[in-house]
Parts: sequence; structure tokens; C-alpha cells
Amino acid sequence: MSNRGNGTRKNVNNGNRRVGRRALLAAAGAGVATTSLAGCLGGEEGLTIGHLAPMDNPLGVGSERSAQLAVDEINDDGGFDGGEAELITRDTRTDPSEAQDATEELVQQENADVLVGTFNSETTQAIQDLTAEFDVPFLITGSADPGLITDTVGSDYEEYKNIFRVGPINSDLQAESIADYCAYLQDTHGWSDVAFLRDQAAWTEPFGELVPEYLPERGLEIVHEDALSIEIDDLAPVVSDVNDSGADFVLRFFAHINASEMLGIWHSSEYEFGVEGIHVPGMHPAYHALTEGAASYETTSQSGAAGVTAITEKTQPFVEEYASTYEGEDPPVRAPMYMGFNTYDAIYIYRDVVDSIETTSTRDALDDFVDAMLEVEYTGVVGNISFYGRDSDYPHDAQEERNDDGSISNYPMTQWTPEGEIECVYPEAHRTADHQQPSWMQ
Amino acid sequence: MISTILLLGTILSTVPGRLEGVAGSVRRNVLLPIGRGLDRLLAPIDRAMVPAATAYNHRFGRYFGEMSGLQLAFVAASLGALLTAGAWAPLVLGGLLRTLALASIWAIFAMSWDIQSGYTGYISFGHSALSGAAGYTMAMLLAHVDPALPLWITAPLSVLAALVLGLLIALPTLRLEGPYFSLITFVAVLLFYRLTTAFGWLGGIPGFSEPDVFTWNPVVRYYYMLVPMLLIAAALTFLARSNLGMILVAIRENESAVSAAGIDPTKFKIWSFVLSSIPMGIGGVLLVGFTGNVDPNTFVVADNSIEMIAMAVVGGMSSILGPLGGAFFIEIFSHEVLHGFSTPVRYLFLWTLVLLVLVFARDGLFRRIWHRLGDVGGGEG
Repeated sequence: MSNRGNGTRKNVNNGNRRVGRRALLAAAGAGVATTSLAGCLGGEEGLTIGHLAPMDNPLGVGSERSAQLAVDEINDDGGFDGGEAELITRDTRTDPSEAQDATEELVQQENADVLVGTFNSETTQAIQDLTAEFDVPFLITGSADPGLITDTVGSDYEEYKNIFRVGPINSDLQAESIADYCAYLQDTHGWSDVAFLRDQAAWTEPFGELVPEYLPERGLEIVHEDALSIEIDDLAPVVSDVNDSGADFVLRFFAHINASEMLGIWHSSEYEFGVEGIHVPGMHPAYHALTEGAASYETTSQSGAAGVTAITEKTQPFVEEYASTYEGEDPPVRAPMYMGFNTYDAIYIYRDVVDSIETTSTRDALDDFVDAMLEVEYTGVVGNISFYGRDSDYPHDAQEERNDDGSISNYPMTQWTPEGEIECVYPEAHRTADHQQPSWMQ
Repeated sequence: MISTILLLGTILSTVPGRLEGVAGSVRRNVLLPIGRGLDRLLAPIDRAMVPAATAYNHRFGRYFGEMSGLQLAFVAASLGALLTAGAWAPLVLGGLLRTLALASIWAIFAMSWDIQSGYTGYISFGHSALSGAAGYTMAMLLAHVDPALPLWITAPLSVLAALVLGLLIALPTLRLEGPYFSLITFVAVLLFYRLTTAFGWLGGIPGFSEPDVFTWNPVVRYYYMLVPMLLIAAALTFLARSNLGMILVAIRENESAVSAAGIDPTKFKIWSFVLSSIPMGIGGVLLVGFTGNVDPNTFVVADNSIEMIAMAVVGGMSSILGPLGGAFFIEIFSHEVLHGFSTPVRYLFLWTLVLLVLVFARDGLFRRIWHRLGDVGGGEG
């Protein structure tokens, strides 16, 4: 329960319509106000951070632990504009309706001052209207679909200005980064023929459009292409198709599909192709052990690079703190998965913004909040974070970082070694080891 | 070893007898005195309400069923509580209004299931397909035809779609009895579920987010859901008490006797589908307006159909108002009492409760309460 109710908020005049609605909601929430008023009397002003993630998924667990870590650290370090934050996590079960239920609870019952999280893009999309309606700052930390920004903040700025994406960089930018990575594979191993597979889901649609455009520009050829139903339960024919295509590597984008079976077949048959791209289940820190080594030589891109490399001076301290805090608990214990890195940064960014606008009531001071967010230049655990401005193609989206040669540098690629270690193999600036071909291809 | 088994067998064989003894003793020494105390407490209310009940019975009794004074008080108090919830619910719990709004939608589903399955005895496991038909029709009209279509066009078409699907399911089931009927309805919902994910234009797992919610204002939204629910409850109660309802019950009791009496059961089974599909369609439209997202998990999954049955069973099958009470009971139990538990734990508790009701109060909690109220002061239930 929040320690502040609706009725205790200062109302800021944002126009007649909003005040009317607020007044109505305040009337509806009067009871909440009275019951929670006792909590505000005499205490310093605090705030509630609502965290949304699929909690039956290690990715969600990692995100919640990272969020709690950030909140605890900040509370111990002077708090959010002097106030302590309470973190409330709600399970979205990767189900749009469940996410809506959870969000409504956080917004209306718990009076969350900010929402952080959500994993799959469909879930995020389902709650955007709700967050906009109630002017709750919403910091996306798990979803990559560009449409989450272009169809909202990009199409009706005033309505959706509460939405920011802290990370990962959107799928359009990811497609470009991965195309550059494919060019690196071609330079390194001479791999030029690509089998291109993806989940049939919102987040991979930009890959479906852009990868067939980007790869030929870099001298690579797509020899096989397929968008797989996320309910697929037999990957053997898919592996067989890839092998028959004669591809040098399969470039796959799987968040919903668990490709463990595919990796098992690949290893046992020693098929002559590499397995590259994005595979969210493969980001689990215990994935190599869980697949009994079948993940060896598999790569996946992930913001934060699984914490194996010092992307910034904050990355390693965060990973060490995470590992020591959650030692002995269920995986992921060594490091959270990518969403955790973004969530951790999001909460620190929120603290900085709250400190600069000198209020924790960010729902009531949304314009100030937005202005301050657009000024953010934050060095986090995933890199340097800043947001695109109102007039850009992706307003309020996380900006990509670029190397001197113009290639994107904040979407690192990791590879499982046969020893079960994770190495960062791309980009060069963060590299901890060279990319390895499967042993049977060496 | 053998002696141990014999000993265990002896103990186990005496346990049920002992349990019955304990239950009997609890009933005699605890429940009956409490019941007598309640009787003494409630009898004056019953007596005070007798004139109002007599007036009601005289005017409406034959349409909606006769009530004792206390039963009338119970209905009036429940109705009053529901109609004024916009004012008091936020004072009790922050999210209670939301739960009540959701319960209103589920009450429509449970009552719709009841008028067909509860009354005719043909148990349908596929009712969520009907609300799904309405929801998907609405979403697809907005997504594929025109996003600006007004509600007065999309809503009737959606209800019509539910009716058409209801009749489509009805056709192959008319010649079937017992488990075969249930199997067909179950297959229908499984087919529908797979259909939603088989073709991209049906939205897949994420479904459609095109429909707008009616409103995010919790008070206004609650009344948007409550008023249609109350109207449907009144209409279904009226129909269930009419000759039509009697024939549906007669089909459940003895279908061949109904045929022998010169009444065509097939015609009335089709009517039960019609009576059920239309409110299911209305409920589907309301659910679209509540969530703004039409996806297989919200509208189609077989779990939803089972949940409707659970609500009807907990409330009391073939009573219309019982399933209504069951829906409110289960929604409040799930969202408010078990609030904070993870989803799997919540459902574990919920299904255990359903199991307990099935074992210990097979006629449903609300029917029990209803008859108990009718018994106070020797009134007729």
C-alpha cells in the first residue's frame, strides 16, 4: 500500500479536461485517501515505484531483484528528493490482459508515481493507453518494438508524453547493429550466406523488414527466411531447412521461442552453420548448464552484455553487488538478464530527475518530469543513456551510442563457450574474447 | 506386517464413522444453536418485511418468483448495495469497484451459462467461445473495417455474431446427449482458440488492441457494467420462471417425457441456445469495453468456460440469481481476499473452494442461503 493517497496530491492545472477527470477520480479515491492519510502525517514524503514483469520468467525475477537493489541503494543514499521509495512488483504473465489488470492496480490502488518494466512488446502496448490516461511516467525497460514509441509519443505527443524507453535500443536500431555484426562475422570467418528466422511477434517485425535490406548492403545473402509461430513445438524441421539451405549461419530472433531443442539437434548432428542473433532464453545465466552444453557457441545480443565486460565503470560493481545480494537464491544469480540492467538504470535515472525537479509527485508535475528526462545524460550499467527529443523519429526512445566508424556500440553480442562461460564478442570496444566457430567447423 | 495392515485397515474403517460423529456433534452443539440464534435475530426483520413481501408477491410474484419477508430484504439490501457501490466501494478498498465491475461481467456469463446448461442439464464447456465471438467481431470490425465505427453499429453486430456461433454449435449437438454434447462444446472452444492463433489476421496471442475502453473512470465504468447485468438478470429470471423455463427444466428431468407430452424438445433446446448466446454476446461487448484488448487469453481459453461453470456451481445451478452471486463471490474472493498471492496460488485456493462447495454444498452456497432465509419464521422459500 502506498503511504500517500490520491487526495494528498497537489493538483496541477493542466487544462480543464484533466482537472475534471482528476476531481472525479479524487472523489472515487477519497476512501483510499482517508485510509492512507495516516501514513503521510508527520513522515517525509515518499513514493511508490510500480514494477511490471513476467514473474514466472527468470528475466522478470532478475528485473525485480535489480529494481529492489536500486531502490535499496537509493533509499540508503538520501532517497528520492529526500523521500523513501517503496517498490511494488506485479506479475504480467506476458499476457496483455493480465498486464492491464496489474497496471490498473498499481495506478489506481497503489497510486504508483512511476511505472517501470514490461517485457514482451504486446504487453507493453496493452498498458500504454492506461498509463497515458493517468499521466503516470512509464519507463520501458524490456520491450524493443519501435511502434511502442512511434505509435504513441510519435503520433500524439501530448497524450503519450509520459512514456520513455530506457532500454533496450529499439528493434530498428538493433537490426542495424546486428547487420554490422554480421559483416564482422563475414570479415572474420568468411560467412556470407544467412538463414534468417524470427518469432512471429511485434518485436521482430522491424527485423523482418530491415534485415533483408541491410544484409545485401553489407555483401551478405539471405538464402532462407521464415517467421515461426511462437507456439511452435517442433524445431527439427526448421533446423533441417536451415541445413538444406547451405547457410553459413542462422540469424534468428527468438524471445518467445525457446531454441534449446534446435541447439541440441545442431550439436548432435554437427551441422555446418553458426547460430547467431538474439535468443532471450539463451541470456539466462544458467542456460549453458540447463542445456547440458548444447548452448556452446550460441550467441545472443543483449544490453548489458550479461555483465561480463566493463561497459562503464558501473557495470562490474552492479553485477558483483547483484551476485552477492542474491547468492544462494534461484537463478539468475550471477547477473540479471538484459531487462534487469535496464530496470536498474531506469530507477537511478528516475531518482536523478526527481531530485532535479524537486518533487516525487511526478504524476502531477508531468511536464517538468518530461523536460528533465529530455535533459538526461546518464552513465548507467548498460552505457550512456539519453533520450531522443520530441521532433525526432523516435521521441523519448533510448538513443543508440555510436563508434567513430558510425556503427552502434550499445548493443553488445555475447557467446557461450564450450566451458560454459559467457564472453562478449562484439563490438570491439567491449570484447572479452574473439568469436569462435563451432569446434566441428574449425 | 499383516497385523500392521489389519490395524491400519481397522483404524481407517472407523475414521469415516468417527468423522460423521464429529460432524453430527458439531452440527448439534455449534451450528444448530447459531442457527436458532440467527432465527431469533432475523425473525423480526422477516415480520417487518411481510407487508412489503405480500405486496411484491401479489404484483410480481408470478413473474419473478415469490419471496418471504426476509428474502425480499436480502434482495433489496443486495440491490441497494450494488447500486450504491460507486459511493461506498472506494471507501472500503481501493480496487473494489474494479473487482465489482469485473464481477458484473462474469455474472452475465455465469447466468447465461445457467439458463442453458443449468436449466436443461446439457453441460456446455464451450461458453467462452460465444463471448469470444462477440469480442473478436468487435475487434475485427475496428481493426479491419473502420477504426471509427461507433458502438451502436459494432455492439449489435457482435451480439449477432455470438448468436450465430451459438446456433452453429447448437446444430450438431441437437441429436446428441450427455457427454457427447459437452464434448462438442469443448471441441468448439478448442477450435476457436487454435483459430485465433492460426492466422495472422486473427491477431495471434497478443490479439487486438484497437478497441477503446469505454472509460478508465472506475465509478462510471462500474455502472456501465452493472446496469446491463441487472437488466439481464431480471430478464433471465423472468424467462426462467416462465413456461419456457419450466420446459427447459423438464428436458433436464426427463426429455422423453417432454416429447411424449407433444412438446418438441429440440425446439426448446435451440431456444436455450438463443437465450444464452445473446447475453453472452452482450457480456463479450462489455468485456471489450472493460479491457480494450481482445486476445485469446481474455476471451477464448477453455479456462474461462470452466470458470463460468464454477461460478454457477458455487452460487447454485438453475437459479439465475445463484450464479450471479457465485460470480461476485468468486471475483471478490480471487481479487480482494487472495490479493497479493501469485496467480497460480490464487487459482489453487479458488479451485479448492469450488471442490469444497461441490462436495459439501452441491446445490450451491447462495441457494442454501436463500432457502435458509425462507425458512426463518416458517416462511415459504
